[in-house]
Amino acid sequence: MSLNQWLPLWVLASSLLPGLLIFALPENKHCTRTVLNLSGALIKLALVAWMAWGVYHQQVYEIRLALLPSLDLVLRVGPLALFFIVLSSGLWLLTTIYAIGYLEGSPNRSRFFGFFSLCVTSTVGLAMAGNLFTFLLFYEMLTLATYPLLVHRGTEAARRAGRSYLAYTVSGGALFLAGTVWLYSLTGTLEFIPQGFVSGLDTAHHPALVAIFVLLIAGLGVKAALVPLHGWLPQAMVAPAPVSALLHAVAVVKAGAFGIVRVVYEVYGVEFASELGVTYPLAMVAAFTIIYGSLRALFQDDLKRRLAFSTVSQVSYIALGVAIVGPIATIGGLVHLIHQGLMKITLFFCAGNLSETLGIHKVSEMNGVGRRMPWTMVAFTIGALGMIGLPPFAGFVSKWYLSLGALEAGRDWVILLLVGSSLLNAAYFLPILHAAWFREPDVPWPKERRFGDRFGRRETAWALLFPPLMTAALTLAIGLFAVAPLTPLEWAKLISTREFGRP
Amino acid sequence: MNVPFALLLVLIWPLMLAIALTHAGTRPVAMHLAPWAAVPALVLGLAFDDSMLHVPGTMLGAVLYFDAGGRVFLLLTATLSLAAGLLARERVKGWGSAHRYTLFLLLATTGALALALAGDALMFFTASTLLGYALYGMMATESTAAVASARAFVVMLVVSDLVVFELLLVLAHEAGGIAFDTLRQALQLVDFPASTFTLLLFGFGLKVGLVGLHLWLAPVFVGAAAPVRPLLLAFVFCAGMLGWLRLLPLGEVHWPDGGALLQGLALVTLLYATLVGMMQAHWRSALAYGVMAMSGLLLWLLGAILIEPGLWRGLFSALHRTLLQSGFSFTVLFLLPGPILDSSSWRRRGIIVLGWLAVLLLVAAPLQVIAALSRLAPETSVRFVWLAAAFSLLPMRCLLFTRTVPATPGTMWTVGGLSLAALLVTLELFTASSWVALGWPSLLLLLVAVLGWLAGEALAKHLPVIPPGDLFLPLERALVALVGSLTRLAGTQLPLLRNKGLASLQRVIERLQWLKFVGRVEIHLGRWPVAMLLLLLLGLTLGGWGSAG
Repeated sequence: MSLNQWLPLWVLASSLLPGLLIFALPENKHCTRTVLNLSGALIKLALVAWMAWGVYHQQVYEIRLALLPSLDLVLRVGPLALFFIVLSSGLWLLTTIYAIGYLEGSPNRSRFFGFFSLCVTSTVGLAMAGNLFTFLLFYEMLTLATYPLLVHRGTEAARRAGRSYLAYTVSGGALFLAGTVWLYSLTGTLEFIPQGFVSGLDTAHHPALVAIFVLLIAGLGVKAALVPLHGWLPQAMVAPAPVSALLHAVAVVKAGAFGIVRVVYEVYGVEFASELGVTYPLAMVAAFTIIYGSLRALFQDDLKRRLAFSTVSQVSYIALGVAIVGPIATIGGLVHLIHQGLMKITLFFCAGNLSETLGIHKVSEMNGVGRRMPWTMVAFTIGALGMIGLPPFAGFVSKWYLSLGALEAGRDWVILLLVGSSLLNAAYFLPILHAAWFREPDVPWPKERRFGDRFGRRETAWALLFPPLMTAALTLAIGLFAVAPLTPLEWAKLISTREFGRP
Repeated sequence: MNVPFALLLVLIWPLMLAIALTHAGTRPVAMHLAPWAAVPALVLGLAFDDSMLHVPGTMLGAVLYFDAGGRVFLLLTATLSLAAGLLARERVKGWGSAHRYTLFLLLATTGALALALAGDALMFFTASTLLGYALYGMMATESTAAVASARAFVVMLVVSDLVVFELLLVLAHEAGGIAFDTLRQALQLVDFPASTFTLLLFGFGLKVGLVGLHLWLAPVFVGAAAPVRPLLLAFVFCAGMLGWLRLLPLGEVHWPDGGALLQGLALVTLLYATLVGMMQAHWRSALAYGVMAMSGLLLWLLGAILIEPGLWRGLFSALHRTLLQSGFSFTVLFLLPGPILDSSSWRRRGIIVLGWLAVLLLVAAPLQVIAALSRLAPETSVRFVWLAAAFSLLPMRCLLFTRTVPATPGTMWTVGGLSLAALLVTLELFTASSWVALGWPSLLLLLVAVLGWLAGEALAKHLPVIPPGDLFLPLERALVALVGSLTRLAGTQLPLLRNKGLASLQRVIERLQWLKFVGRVEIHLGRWPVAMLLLLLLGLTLGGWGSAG
C-alpha cells in the first residue's frame, strides 16, 4: 500500500489515538491532556492540508478494508469529502482550545475530551466515507460519542436533553439503516459515485427508490434538524458551550446536512433525483424549516435557544441548495456548509464567553455588554451580520449563490423565501447588537468573573477569546476574498463542476 | 495623473485609521487624523485622471472605477465626509465613547467614498451597506432622541437593502455578470421588466425619499446630530441617486413608458414634499422635505432622459453639477444652527450671510440643468423651470424658524468652506452659460423662493402643523402594537393553546377503553410462539414481494 492510501487512516487516527489515551489519563494530568489534544488537532490539520493539496491536483486518497462479505469499509477523499474534513478539523482545533479554557477547573475533563476526540473522529470518518455502509457506521458512532458530551454536566435538564437526543437520533439512525438495507437489496452496491448509482435501475423500482429516499432523508433530517425532526436541538442547549459549538457547527448538525448532500449527489445523482420528483418536496421541507426556525428564534429570550433555532433555519439552506437542482445552487448550498459553520461557531463561542465571564444567558441581560466585552461582541457582531447575509461577510456569498441558483433553476419563490429569511434574521439579530453596543447596562451582571494578569484586566480568558476572534476573522476574510484561490467558494465551484460537468 | 492604485489607497486609509482606533497605543494618533480621513479622496477627485482598478480575489471580482460621474460623487462625498469629520472632532470632546463614535465615522467615510468609486454592483451594494450601518452606529451612540430616529433609519436600511439585493440578483442572472454596464443592458432583457423596474424604483427610492417611501427621511434628519447630517446627505445622494444613475439605461435606450412613470412619480414626490414641507414646525424637517423635493426634481429629469436619450450627453455635466451644488447647499443649511434674523455678534452676522447664500445657491442649483436644457430641448426646459420653481418654495422656509443655539467656530469654518464650494460650482454655470438665457428662469426661481418665504410666514399661522415624516408616527405606533400582539401571541397565548390541546388529547387517550386491549395484545406479543409466528409471516411477505419484484 502506498503512503497516500494510508493517509485517510492517519487522519482518523490523529484524533482517535489521542482520544483513547486521554480516557486513560488521570484527571489531574492537565498538561499531558492539553498536549495530546492540541498535538492531535494540529497533526490532523497538517494531514488534511497535505490531502487538500493533493486533491486540488486531482489526487484521490482511498483505502478499502474488508469488513463484511461484499461490504468494505471504504475511506475515500475527493473534493466533497475534503470540503467537510477541512471544516471539521479546522474548527476542531479552535474548539479544543476553547474547551480547554472553558472547562478549566471543572471535573471529568478526561472523559469530556476523550469523547470530544471520538466525536471528531466519527465526523471525519463519515466525511471520508466512500460508501453508504461506512457512512452509516460513523453516523451511528457519532450519535454514541456525542451523547456523553451532551449529558456532561449531569444535571436533570442535561439528562432530559440527552434522552431526547438519543430518542431522536437512534430513531433517525434506524430509519437510515432501513433505507440503506433496502437500497442494498435493490442495487447490490452502496458505493458513492458522482452522479449516483441508482439511475440505472428499472423504472419499476422507482416507487421503491422514492420510499428509500424518504427513509434516508428522514434519518439524516433528524441530525440536520429538519422540521419536524428538530425537537432535540433546542433542548440540547443545556450542554456546555464547546459542545453546542460542536453540535451546531462542526459535527452533528453538519453530519446530517452533509449526509443529505451525499445521498442526493452520490447515491441518487441530483438530476436523477429531480426526475424522480424527490427534490421538490425536499426543497419545500427545507423552505418551511428556514422560515419556522427563524420565526421561533425571533421570540426566544434565551440566547443559546435563539441561536439554536437560528441553526434549525440556517442549516436548511444547505438542503435547499441541494434540492433546487442546478450548478449555481449547488455552489450556494455547499459553500454554506462552511460559511454557516464558521458564523455559527463564532456565535456560540461568544455566547459561551458571555455566560462564563458575566453569567449572561438571556438576550434581555445583554444591555451594554459591548463595553464590558468589546472583542467578544465584535466577533458576535461579525457572526450575526454574516448570518443576516450582509456583504462582505461569508453569509452574503451563500445567499447570493443560492438565490442565483434558484433563478437559474426557475424556482423564483426561493428568492422571496431568502429575502423573508434575511428579514427575520435581521429582526432577531439586530436587537441583540443594538442592546449590546448602544444601551446602558441597567443591572449588575448576573455573575462576574475577572480575568487579568500583570498586564492589566482582560475581558475574558485568552483561550476563550482567541477562537471566536479567529472564526470571526475567517468569516470576514472568506466573504471579502471570496474568489481568491482555495477559498470555500472556489472549492464548491470545483465540486459543482465535477457533479454537473460544467461550471 | 493616472494611478489606479490610488483608488484603493483612498479607501484603505480611513479603514487603517479605524483599525488604529481599536488599539489603545495608536488611538491618540488615529483620533487626531480621523477628521481628515477624506482628504486623500478629495485630492484624488481634484488632481487625478480617470482610471479603473480590478482588485483580484476580492468579493466576487471587485472593480474600482473612477469616471467623470464618479469624480463628482467622490468630490461630494469627500467634502461631506470632511465636514462630518471636523464637526465630529468638536462634538466628541470629553466623551467617554469618543473613539467608538469616531470609529463609526471612519467606517461611514469609507462606505461613502467606496460608493463613488464602486465599479460593480456588488461593490456598490457593500459600500451602501457599510455607510448605512455605520451611520446607524453614529446615531445610536447619540442621545435617546437620536436612537429613535436610528431605529427608523435601520428599518429603512434593511428593507431597501433587501429590495436592492433582489434587483441585483435578477439583473446579474440575466446579465451573467455584475458590472454596471452589463446590468443596465440586462434591465431591458429581463422577462418581467415591469417588476424589475419596480424593484429599481423601490430599492433606491427608499433611500432618496420617493413619495410613500419617504417616511424615515424627516424624523432621521431631525434626530441626527450635526456630524451625521452631511453623511446622511451623502447616503441619500450616493446610495440612492447614484444607484439610479448607474443602473438606469440613460442615453442608451428610448424608453418612453419607463420615462413617463418616472416623471409621474417625480411630480407627485415634488409636489407632496413641497406641500408637506410648508407645514413643518422644525427647520430641519422642512429641509428634509426639501431633499425629497430635490430627489423628485432630479428623478423627473432622469425620466426625461429615458424619453429622449439624446439629452443624456448634453445634460450629464449639468446634472452632476446640480447634484454637487445642491449637496453642498443642503449641508450648509442643515448645519446652520438655526435663526438668522436677530444678530449681535460677527458670528451671528456670519450665519445670516451664509444662510442666505446657501438658500440662494440651493434655489439656483437647478439653473445648471435649465441652462443645458434650454439649448437641447426648449420645451422640456420650460417644464423643468416650473418644477424647479415649485422646489424653490421650500428653501427659504427654513429661515423662518428661530433657534438660539450659537454656532461654534468649527461649524462656522465648516459651513463657510461648504458655501465656498457651492459658490464655485455655481460660478462655473455663469461662465459657461448665457446670462440672457438664464435671466427669466433665475428671476422666476428667486421670486417663487421669496413668495415661499412670505407666504410661508403667513401660512404658518393658519395651516396645521404636520409632524416630521407625516405618516411615520401613526405607522410606527401601529407597528409597535402589531409586534406587541405577535409577541404576546407567540410567548403566551400559543403555548397556552398548545398546553390545552395536549391536555385534552391526553384526557381523550386516558378515556379510551382499547388501551386495556392493547395491554393484553402486548402480553401475547411477549410470548415466544407468537413472536416466531410473526417473524415467519414477515419472512413470507418479504419473500413474496422480492419474487414479485
